[in-house]
Amino acid sequence: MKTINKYLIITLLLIVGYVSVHSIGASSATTNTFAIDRKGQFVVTQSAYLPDQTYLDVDVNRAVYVDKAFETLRENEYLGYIIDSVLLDQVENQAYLTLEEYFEGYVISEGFADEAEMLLDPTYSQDDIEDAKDSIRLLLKDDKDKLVIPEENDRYLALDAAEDMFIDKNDFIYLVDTGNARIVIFNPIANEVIGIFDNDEFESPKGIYITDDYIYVADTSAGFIDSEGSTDGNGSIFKLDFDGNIVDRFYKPDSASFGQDVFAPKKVAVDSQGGLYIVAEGIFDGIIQLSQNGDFLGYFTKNQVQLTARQRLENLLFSDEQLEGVVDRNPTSFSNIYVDINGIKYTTSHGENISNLKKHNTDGSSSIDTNWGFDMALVDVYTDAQGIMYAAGDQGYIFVLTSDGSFIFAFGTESDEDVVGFYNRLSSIAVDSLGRIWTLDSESAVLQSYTPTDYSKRIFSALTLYKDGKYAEAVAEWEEVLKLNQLSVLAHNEIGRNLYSQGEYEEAMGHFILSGNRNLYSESFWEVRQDQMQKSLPLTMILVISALIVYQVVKRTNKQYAYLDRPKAQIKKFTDIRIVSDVLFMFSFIKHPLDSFYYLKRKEKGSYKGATIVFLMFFVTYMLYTTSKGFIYQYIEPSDLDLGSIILGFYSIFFLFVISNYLVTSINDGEGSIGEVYKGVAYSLMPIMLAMLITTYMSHKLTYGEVILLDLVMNAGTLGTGLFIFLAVQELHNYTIRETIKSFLMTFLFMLIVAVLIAFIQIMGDQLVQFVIALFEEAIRNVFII
Amino acid sequence: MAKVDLSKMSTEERELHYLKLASLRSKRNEKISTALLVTPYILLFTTFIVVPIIVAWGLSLTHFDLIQAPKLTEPFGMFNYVMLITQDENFLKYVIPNTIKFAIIVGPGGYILSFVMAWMLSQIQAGPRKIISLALYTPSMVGGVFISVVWRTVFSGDVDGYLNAILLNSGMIDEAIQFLQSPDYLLNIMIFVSLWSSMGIGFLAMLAGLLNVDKTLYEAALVDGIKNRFQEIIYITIPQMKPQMLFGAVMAIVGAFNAGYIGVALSGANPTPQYSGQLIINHIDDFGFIRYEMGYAAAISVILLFVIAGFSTVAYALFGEKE
Repeated sequence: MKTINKYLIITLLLIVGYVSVHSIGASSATTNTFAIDRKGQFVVTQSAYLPDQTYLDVDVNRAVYVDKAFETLRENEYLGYIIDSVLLDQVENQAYLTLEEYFEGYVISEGFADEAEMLLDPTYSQDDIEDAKDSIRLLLKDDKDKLVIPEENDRYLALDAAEDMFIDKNDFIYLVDTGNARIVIFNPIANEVIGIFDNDEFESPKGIYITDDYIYVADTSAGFIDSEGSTDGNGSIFKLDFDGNIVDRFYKPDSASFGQDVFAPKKVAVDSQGGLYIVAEGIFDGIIQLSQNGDFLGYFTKNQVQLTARQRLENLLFSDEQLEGVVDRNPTSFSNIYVDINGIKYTTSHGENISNLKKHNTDGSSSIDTNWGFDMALVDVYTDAQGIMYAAGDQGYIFVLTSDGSFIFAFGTESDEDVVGFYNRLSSIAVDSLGRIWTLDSESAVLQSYTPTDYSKRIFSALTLYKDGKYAEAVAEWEEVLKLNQLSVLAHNEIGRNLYSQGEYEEAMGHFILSGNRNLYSESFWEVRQDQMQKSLPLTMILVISALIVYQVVKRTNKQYAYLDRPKAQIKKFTDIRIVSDVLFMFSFIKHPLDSFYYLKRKEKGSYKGATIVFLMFFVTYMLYTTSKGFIYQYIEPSDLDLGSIILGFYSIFFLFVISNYLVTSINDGEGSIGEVYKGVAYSLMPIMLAMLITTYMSHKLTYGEVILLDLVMNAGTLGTGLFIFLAVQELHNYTIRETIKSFLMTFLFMLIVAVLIAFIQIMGDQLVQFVIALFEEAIRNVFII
Repeated sequence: MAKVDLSKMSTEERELHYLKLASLRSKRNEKISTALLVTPYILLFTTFIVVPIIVAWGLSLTHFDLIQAPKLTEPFGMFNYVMLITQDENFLKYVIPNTIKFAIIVGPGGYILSFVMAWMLSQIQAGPRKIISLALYTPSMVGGVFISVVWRTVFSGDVDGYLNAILLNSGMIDEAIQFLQSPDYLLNIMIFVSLWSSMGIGFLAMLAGLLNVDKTLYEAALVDGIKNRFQEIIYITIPQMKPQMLFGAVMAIVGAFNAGYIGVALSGANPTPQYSGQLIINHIDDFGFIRYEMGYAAAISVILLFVIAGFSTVAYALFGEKE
């Protein structure tokens, strides 16, 4: 009984190891597909690819799995969830548990406490493993529908550290078996190895590229061998025919302009003229470009050196001698290169905060921007016939992008989770003619394929339809995509683009809002607005002209009959009400700022009530401005705003300024009282209030082309308010310009001190409360208990 | 006038009558002499201003390609205007926003800059003032030449352009920027260059006005309790030099709307790259002298005339003398 249990648990461990090393097909739960939402963040979405076939290196004997299982368990404390999803149905959707937690629950419920002890003890004998081998085989045979376990001689690829692969037009996979220094040609349809090139010349082949006529292999250490049989320490590029015979070989370029010490090519791509593009180890100058005869032509493209702020400062200040002392500033090196059927070059790099995937123009610059704002080092890129780009990140993510570089989705494991995931080291990616993605893990030597789901197939076909100009059909296809994933930003964006191309601008606008595409929304809106303007043009003209006529007629007849006197008198009566005139007083600042502040000081005009109303009006305007601008100008959605802190900040800055200014000026010969400062600053808010009102309203009517108008209005408003506050301080305190500037500096310093003080009190307040509570508790205890 | 019988009049009456006649004659003479005096002005104004405006207005109602006779368009000759407002996408999408941006920044911006510069110059001694004001005035005199020599070199798109070289050397940019061919930069460079050369006639007028303000006024104001320079400017300087301010404002408005040559001079092409620096004047040039659609170009000119007239009215309202 005990041994059976023991085997059962070891079996579990075997599965753990097995799954963790190879991430087997059935465990699709480990594959998350990510898309970008309208705010530019990654969200989990509809599964785009399903794991299909897994080709393991079954040459490694199973004992290794057991080893790895225990090793993994020792290293990673939680793996319970994988066991769940693969083998055990008892706990559905089990969250991540630590090993202890998992086994505690499992073992205790089943009553196998001893086994759990034993299990965590890594001393196990060879016999145990042999037994385990048998039991796992038994178990897996029963559970075949759940687990795809390779048969002994089936799918035997026996790869070792495979670094690269390429799929030719027959869908044969050419695997660069670096560890065994050979090329393995594998036919996944017939499921057999159809050829092996193991030329003696190969030393450490790492890259492969196949044209219609030849196979090119980059080898980092197959250097030129002289007559004495010693190598020059460089690598070379082999040009093979499809029988594996070496047709040509490119050594280190002997041109003087190739000033590199070592030539260790690791990846190669070839254009239709036979020119070679080479990524070499340890070369930072860029992609080496060779002619078809192997002459060095230069560097096709290079990455830019990314300098930190400190390095820039060093560059500025250091002398030449000092600069020699600092570490070399090398640019990010390239990791791979690919040339598609149209001759377009793609490169990947593994840098931080740069565009790691580039689609190159003929001059070497990139036509796409793939700087997604997080560090994802890329190792390989491949494209399909439609130009869709598939890029592999070394942490196990696979990125799929449209031909113009927009993100479609990514899938793979979360890199920051310690579940030994999909890949130990993803090294290469390729796509066959059926659209299946093939990936190669060099460390565990696993070849894994994925088939596109209905979801991704529809996306691809819709993209193709758009390219072919079949907009209506593309829209229909995208709607199907939306049925599968209603929140797909890409789908909404593409529907919008299709509708835009068809001239259905109003419908397109709705989709662009959903996808957050402000530029195209603006373009569509321009068209819609233009249409409306054209339609309403005659009416507007008639209205304007008749308004002008009415104005003139009224003006002339009123001279004679004076029938406007009564309404005028009534308006005057209304504006003469003290509170109304106090509010309207704010407009007199435009024409006579100095006089107005003088009147304010003399209490002839303006009042606390009026100033408070102006201030509250500004508050309402400010909230409107913050939350309800037009779509293309409202960069932060109102739902994402922290209104509480905005309101708090608004009031605290205003009152802090008023109080600080009063305190500072009262000891510096300032004449103004705190009430006058309050009124002065409140009335000074008029320009920015007007600007915000205009901006908020006009932002619904303008496109990006006219953004300058809003900028100007806002700048004018801000400047106006700034100037008015300056004048308020100057006039109310009767300062000279120099004194005013001084009092401003002191005010800001004082505000800063107060802010720091408040923060300090807030932090210490908690401590104080705790202290007082403790004090009382102690006192009560001492008084009542003793 | 009824016939008068001189013989029946008394001496006094007769004298009065003669006086009346004399005054009538002198009034007629006065009218004639006034008419003679203004004739040269009227003639010149009509020939060079009124006639061209009328011709332009007339042409704007027609199709005219310089070869065939002008042909009145349908409906009621308004075709060009309707086209302009409804169909000319470049005009609506680029020319109007560009012109507004350019005019709003360069007009008031250049005006304020002129005033500030003039005011600062008025505060220093006469010797350096003459030299500096000449230096400030020079760009507006030699604008065209300077733009093509100095600024095209500074903003040149290759690595040897001054700005590019400086930015490249300091590591701020990775590759040379095509300043003058790139839609992102051209309009801003145009604005910069225009501001640089905005110290023109208006600036000189304002300087003259500033220097003519009676110094005793400042002293009187000081006695009356003026505390700072700002109050001096608002209460004395600006009211004292209103005519010069008005002149400067009108010059700035006209200058801002007519400064179309800068974009073409900088980029070397009309239309400017992707219409990025296309102002209304360039648009007129483009249609008038490149496409030879004179009727259409005339229509745009008429619109421009109204725009400038409108803004000048605003300037008069702000600075004009009120009776």
